[in-house]
Amino acid sequence: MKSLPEKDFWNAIRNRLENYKEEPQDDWLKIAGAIPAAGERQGNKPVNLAADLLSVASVVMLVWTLCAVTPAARIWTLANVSTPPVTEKVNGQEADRLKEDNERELKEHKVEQNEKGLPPVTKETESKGNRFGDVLKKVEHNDASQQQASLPELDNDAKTNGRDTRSAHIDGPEESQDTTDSVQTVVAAKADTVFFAVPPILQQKSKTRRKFRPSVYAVITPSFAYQKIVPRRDDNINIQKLNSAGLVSADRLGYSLEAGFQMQVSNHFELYAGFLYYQQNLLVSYSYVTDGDVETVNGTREKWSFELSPGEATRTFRYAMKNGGASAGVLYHIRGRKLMHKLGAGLQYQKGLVRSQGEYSYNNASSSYLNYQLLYRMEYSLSGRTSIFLQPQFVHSLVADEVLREPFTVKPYRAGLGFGLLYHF
Amino acid sequence: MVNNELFERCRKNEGQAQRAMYDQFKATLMGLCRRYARNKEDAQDMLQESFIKIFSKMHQVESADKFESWMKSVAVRTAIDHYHKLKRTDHHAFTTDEYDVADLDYGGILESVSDEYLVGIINDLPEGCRMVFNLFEVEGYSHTEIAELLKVSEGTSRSQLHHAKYLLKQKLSRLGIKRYEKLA
Repeated sequence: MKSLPEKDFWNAIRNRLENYKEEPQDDWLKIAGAIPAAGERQGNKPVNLAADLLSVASVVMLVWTLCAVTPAARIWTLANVSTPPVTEKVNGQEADRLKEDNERELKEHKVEQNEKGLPPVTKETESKGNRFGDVLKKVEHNDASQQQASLPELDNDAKTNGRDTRSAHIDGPEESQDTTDSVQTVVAAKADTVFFAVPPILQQKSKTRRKFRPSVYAVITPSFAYQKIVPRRDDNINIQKLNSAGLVSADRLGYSLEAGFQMQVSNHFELYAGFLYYQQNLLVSYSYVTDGDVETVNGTREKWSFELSPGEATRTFRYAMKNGGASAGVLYHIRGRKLMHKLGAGLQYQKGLVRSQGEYSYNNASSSYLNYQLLYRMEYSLSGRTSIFLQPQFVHSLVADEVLREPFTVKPYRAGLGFGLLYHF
Repeated sequence: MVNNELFERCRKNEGQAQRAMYDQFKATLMGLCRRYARNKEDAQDMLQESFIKIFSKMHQVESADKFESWMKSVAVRTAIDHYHKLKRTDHHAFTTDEYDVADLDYGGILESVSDEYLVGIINDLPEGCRMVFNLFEVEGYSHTEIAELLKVSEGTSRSQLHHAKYLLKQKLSRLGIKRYEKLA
């Protein structure tokens, strides 16, 4: 044969290539580890449902928080006031906060009045309009000993009346709109107790504020990662031994960053919702039985005896997780004012972010995790607006929709100590 | 041909059945992957990924008799995915001069080379040429389909095929010349 016609030549190549077979390395172990189990394929529903609920809760929480701090919401609150003034007793931390609030509100109110073209505040209008003018004068003329002597009485009076009290006047405009725009404060002998004779507008507002007082928080939590490993039952791979780092080992170290909003909803309860990032880099090695050697010991044509000598291989799995997600939960205020103790519980939804192409690399880009979170918070107030907190916490996976190229599934959990900062609006 | 019972057991995610299925088809699919990959290691990666996809998406196949062709198409798609991930920058400069191959004994040369050697020549082709050649000549896709799959124009697909064939002939011719030299 001199030469094949062109068409036949390519057909011959096609036939040979089409039927070409080659024995590959046996990678069944890796393949079996990466095939999702039957339940896993349809098992995303609880995770998705929980994620949806968590997302909705977070969004509601954020909207609620934003509404509570926007001027529109404040104006709405102010417009619905008709209750008479009441003097309230508050602790030092609350007092600081209220004092700052009141000062700022009065300034804002003054600006509004100017913008509306109302007459400027004068000494005359101040003296006419200020229901507490006489009291202020009295205070100015009273000496220190008189003040001390009459304190208990003033305490009682202040609680019930709010007029006949010794007052330290917080600067700000006193305008011609009766008593609704003035603030009277009595600083009592007890350093941590302040009495406010709160005018109706601000009183109502402060109530609203305290009830729905929003805060933003940020917390970094170094943690130790652990995991519950469940071997797959249907892959014929026998794991002999797991070798992971010690209980408290640098190899287990990870951290999470979280930031979000929290809001007081009752005297004892606060809600929180935020976004988080989590990272860990844990090594797990395991030994498994390989096929090994099969040796024929003795036998006849009808009956053979074999001796199996299974081998053992060790493989290392780097559980280098990077997740992003959202969390939401509730805090219960146990006790304390300056140093508050709180218990918390919540849910976290996390999505994997590691997207590696390597054959043996861990890849969790398509994985998602639903975790529950238990925490204890010690919150210390630095000023009326800022607090720092220390937060031991435990996070455990409820559902881990994770596809590993390993002959087992993993349920991660971790324990950590968070350091956080709170800013109160 | 896939056994019905084995197919159903695989659909139920039975490990032993999947292992048996893997053993039955691993050589066939490895052969396919070897044609598309640059080397054996890449082919091994493709094969692994293909089997993971196959066993993960087996519920999409209606019956056992369609399984084998579906399995091959999964492997081809995986190869195309690899091409999109790895290639991108591999723009081969085509030479315009035609190589005179009319007088060479291609039949003899083809008979003398092993399948492994033939696959090796295919592996040495530039990425785009190798993909188009495999898809057009072996799998039977049209240039329109190839253009869509590889995200190139039909013209590019045609010229890649032309160039692939030219390079193959060139390599086989050189082999033939060497053989003649050896015989002489």
